[in-house]
Amino acid sequence: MQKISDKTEQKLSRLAGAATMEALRNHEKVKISGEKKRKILDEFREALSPDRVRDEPHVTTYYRGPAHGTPRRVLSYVPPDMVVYPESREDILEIFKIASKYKLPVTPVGMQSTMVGGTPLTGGIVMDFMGMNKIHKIDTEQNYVVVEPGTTVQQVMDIVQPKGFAIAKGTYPSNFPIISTLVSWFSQHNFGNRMLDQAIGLEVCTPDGSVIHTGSMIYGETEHWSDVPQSAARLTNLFSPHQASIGVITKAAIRMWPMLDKTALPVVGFNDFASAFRWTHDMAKSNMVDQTMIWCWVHVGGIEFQKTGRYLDYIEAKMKYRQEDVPEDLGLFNCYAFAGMRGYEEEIDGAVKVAERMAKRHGGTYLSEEWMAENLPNTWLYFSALHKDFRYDLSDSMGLSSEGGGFSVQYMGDREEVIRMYEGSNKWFRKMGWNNWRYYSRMFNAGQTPWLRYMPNSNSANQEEIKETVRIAGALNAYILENYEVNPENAMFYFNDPDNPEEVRDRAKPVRRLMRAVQKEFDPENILSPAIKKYTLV
Amino acid sequence: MEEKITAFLEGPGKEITDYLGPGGDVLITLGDSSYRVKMDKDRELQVEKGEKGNSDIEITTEAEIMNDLLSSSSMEEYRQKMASYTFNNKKPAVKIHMERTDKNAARFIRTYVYFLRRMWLLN
Repeated sequence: MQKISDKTEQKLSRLAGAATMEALRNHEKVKISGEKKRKILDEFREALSPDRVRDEPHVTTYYRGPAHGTPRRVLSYVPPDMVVYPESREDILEIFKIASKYKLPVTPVGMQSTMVGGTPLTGGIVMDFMGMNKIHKIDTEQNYVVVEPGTTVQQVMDIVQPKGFAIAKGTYPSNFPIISTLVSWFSQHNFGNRMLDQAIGLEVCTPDGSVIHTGSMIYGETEHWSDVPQSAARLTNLFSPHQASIGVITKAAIRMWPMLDKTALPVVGFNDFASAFRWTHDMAKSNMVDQTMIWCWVHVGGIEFQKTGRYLDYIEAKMKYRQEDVPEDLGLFNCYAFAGMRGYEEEIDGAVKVAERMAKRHGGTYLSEEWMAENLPNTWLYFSALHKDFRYDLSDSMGLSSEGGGFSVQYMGDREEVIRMYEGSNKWFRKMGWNNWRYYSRMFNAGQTPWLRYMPNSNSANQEEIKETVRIAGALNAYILENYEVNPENAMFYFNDPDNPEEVRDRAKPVRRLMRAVQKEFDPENILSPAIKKYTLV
Repeated sequence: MEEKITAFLEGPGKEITDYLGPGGDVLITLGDSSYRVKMDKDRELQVEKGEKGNSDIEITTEAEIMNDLLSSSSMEEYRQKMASYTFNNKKPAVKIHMERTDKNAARFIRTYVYFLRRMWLLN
């Protein structure tokens, strides 16, 4: 087993971002005295209304911090001192005015978690957006919907699906705010092939009282939102994913995708990861394809057998077979690759033929929809609900985490380098004691950014175990970053870390200068998510 | 061997024992000899000579490997040893003898999943 030195462990944990999360946990919490707190509460109550300003413990403790990943959720949790509920852009500007006066940190939140901004809580004020949930516009000709930050995925789905549209919602629950998955945390949706296309334009409020419009809205309210601002820079991406450290989104135009004539989900079984990865890469280059993914046999087995009499066979196989094995006892391939596509009938029929041809080229076995429905019914139900029928209400209840907790690390890079990383890290995992683990892949932006996510199961029943998990995740990151030319996701977290390799710091310097200048200009008192800024940019 | 198993499960391996659910019944088979580890309803651990096939799950390995694992003085040492056996393809084999029913699947999750995880046999 690999033994990690203290120095390496420290460096690696930081690279993992996990130590940053632990540092956030230790971030100095804002101290507000009783009298001062009462004064601030009174000012908020006057500016909003008494029922939209709360500080009772049963309310404040309801806000649980980042929803994503056990280590982050537990390590970075600090309840806020008070919660405010804006209902309009004007409310938000008032909140910023008061918070700036008292230099109080503000964390934007949706559905009690900070998924809206992905920002950890460090006390201070939580601004809960769930009261701002109007849908301002649905354009079925130009394919977009304009929403407020508290609008949930379900709200939008209920309206657009009967009209023959899908939104790129992904696997997060449908009661989450739609901008959390599509704008603020945009990698987590199921249109990976069009990852950057989801936000057309934004309205953003900043703590200095500015209201910033991006896309064509920069020129004033017109009938049509567009992401082509002509003479101005494409500023939407400055705020997405913004981690809520520059401004808060008060209105967003989100793309909705027409279902057209037909959808298809060709699935191919492979007995090695490399061939599957190359197939998904080739498929991602097709204009028809919204998403390509590979699921390992561990993942497919978990979905397929979890609520069947064969669950115990699956567990037995998990203890017997390695990651790269073909689990014959379960009758599974080593991994399954699929491509989700929408289009006109002739296009889809052609694209499915391409999928079969590419499967042959890469040594895979094409599995028809009928074969999948008969042989892997639960897997097919999950795959097709999410990627063919866009039945997100079904996908919500069929989560990926049936096998319990774990940690998650993800990397992106050149296709062949990611394959090399996969093969090398298999050995690393085994040295650490794992026989197999869960993973899935994506090909972002028409195959331009191959991506792989590991999700090994680990024990996480208490703080000590979570720390151990964080240590292991850090060590894995270190191994991978030292041996392979790939990038970790969430690299923004590491910009300001003095323990980062010099090269990373140097390259990040001008970016930090640029972002810091923006932040100082628009958030002069550094009130918006200051903890995250401390470890990223400011 | 019974004493050795008991000493480990009540000593350095106590946290493994803590996760064996009440009613847990595990057979450890080393060559021709088998040992039964049971957790009764009052959470009292019992280790005795056993017979092949009479428990819910069976862990099979060589006596030398089991002796090495049980001689660990801490969970960290145990884990490192198990990782080494996993890496070298010598991880103890686990067979689940329970009938494949929904009810047994639920009982298995309650009784054995975290126990096997703590043993680093299932992850």
